[in-house]
Amino acid sequence: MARTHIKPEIQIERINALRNTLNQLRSKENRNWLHRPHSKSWSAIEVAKHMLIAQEVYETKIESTLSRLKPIEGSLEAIRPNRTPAFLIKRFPPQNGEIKHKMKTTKKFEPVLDLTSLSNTDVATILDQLDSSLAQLKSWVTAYRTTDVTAIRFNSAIGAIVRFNAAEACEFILCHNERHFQQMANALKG
Amino acid sequence: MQHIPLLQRAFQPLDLNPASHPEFFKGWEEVQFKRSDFITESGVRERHFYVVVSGVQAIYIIGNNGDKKVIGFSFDGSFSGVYDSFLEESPSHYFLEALTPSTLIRTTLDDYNSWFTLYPEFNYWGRIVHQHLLIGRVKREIELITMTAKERFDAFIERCPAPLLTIPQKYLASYLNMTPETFSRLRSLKS
Repeated sequence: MARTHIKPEIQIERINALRNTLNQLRSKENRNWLHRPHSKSWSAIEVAKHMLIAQEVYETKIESTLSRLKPIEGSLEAIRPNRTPAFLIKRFPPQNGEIKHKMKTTKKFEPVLDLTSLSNTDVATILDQLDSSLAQLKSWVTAYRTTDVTAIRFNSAIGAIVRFNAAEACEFILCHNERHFQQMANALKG
Repeated sequence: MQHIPLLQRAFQPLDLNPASHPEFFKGWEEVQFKRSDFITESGVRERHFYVVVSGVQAIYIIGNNGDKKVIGFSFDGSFSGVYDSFLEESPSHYFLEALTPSTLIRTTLDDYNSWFTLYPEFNYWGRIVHQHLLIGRVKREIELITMTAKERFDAFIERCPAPLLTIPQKYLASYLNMTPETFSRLRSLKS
């Protein structure tokens, strides 16, 4: 869904929705998580691992930025993203359950898992980590909401060609996750 | 338990005291929130029933266009929390936010339910409280449907508890289903 403004409360609502979805999906059996729907597509657990890798890239950048932002009176209502981040963000979320604008994943974001040796505990650990990463994303949104978030920009994961403030980065990660939650649900269906 | 008088006032008309209702007074915990902290988030289950010691809190829903629609407020001495989520044990549809630094005391659903079993008089309290809630919601619905913005403003100001006059106008305007500009204009006409 195209969004012209980033609103922290809406981000929090969406993150909570993803956590609730994850909680529901966890009832699926291990074999469902490991099953690849096609030989070239990822299994649901690989999708989960990819989301973890993608967020980790931003962890230091966002936390360092948040520690330097100045607090404001009250809280932010809305942030208008810059043109390039807005363009990227708009392309990401699934539309009516469909993943549009297929994108190539670069090597560093590829999940490297040996699906033949993953135990129930391994799967559960990755899913626990995914839930923790969503909680971490929410803590970033909660933190930037009471700061002058537009004051500091940093390079995105693809370099200086796209620079984010913390609100845009959180939106980018969230849209990316929404896209991959759809993929994860599709993979679990078989 | 340092909030005995507060609880006794909040749970009127019951005559509660620690000697006759020990289990009721046991199960409360004090919590503090900074201004703008979320007490409960949309999408997360409300696990507590609150009584406000100090501060003002707003309960709101996010509309389709992303705007906050304020449903109500809580303040010194009143009950607070997302009641439907609390009772149904389901994710909240609303945010509950501290608009000013807030201190609340809270209890859990198990404790809340135990009062009705341990102390039958709580069923009387429950009846009275839910009657007031229902009548209040109906009155508000009628005001929103039938009154002009000015009439809604006048009616609200007449019964407005003092703590609410300290919060940002945009929350009051949203509660009254008017723009902050209209609220501000009506307020300046009044003063």
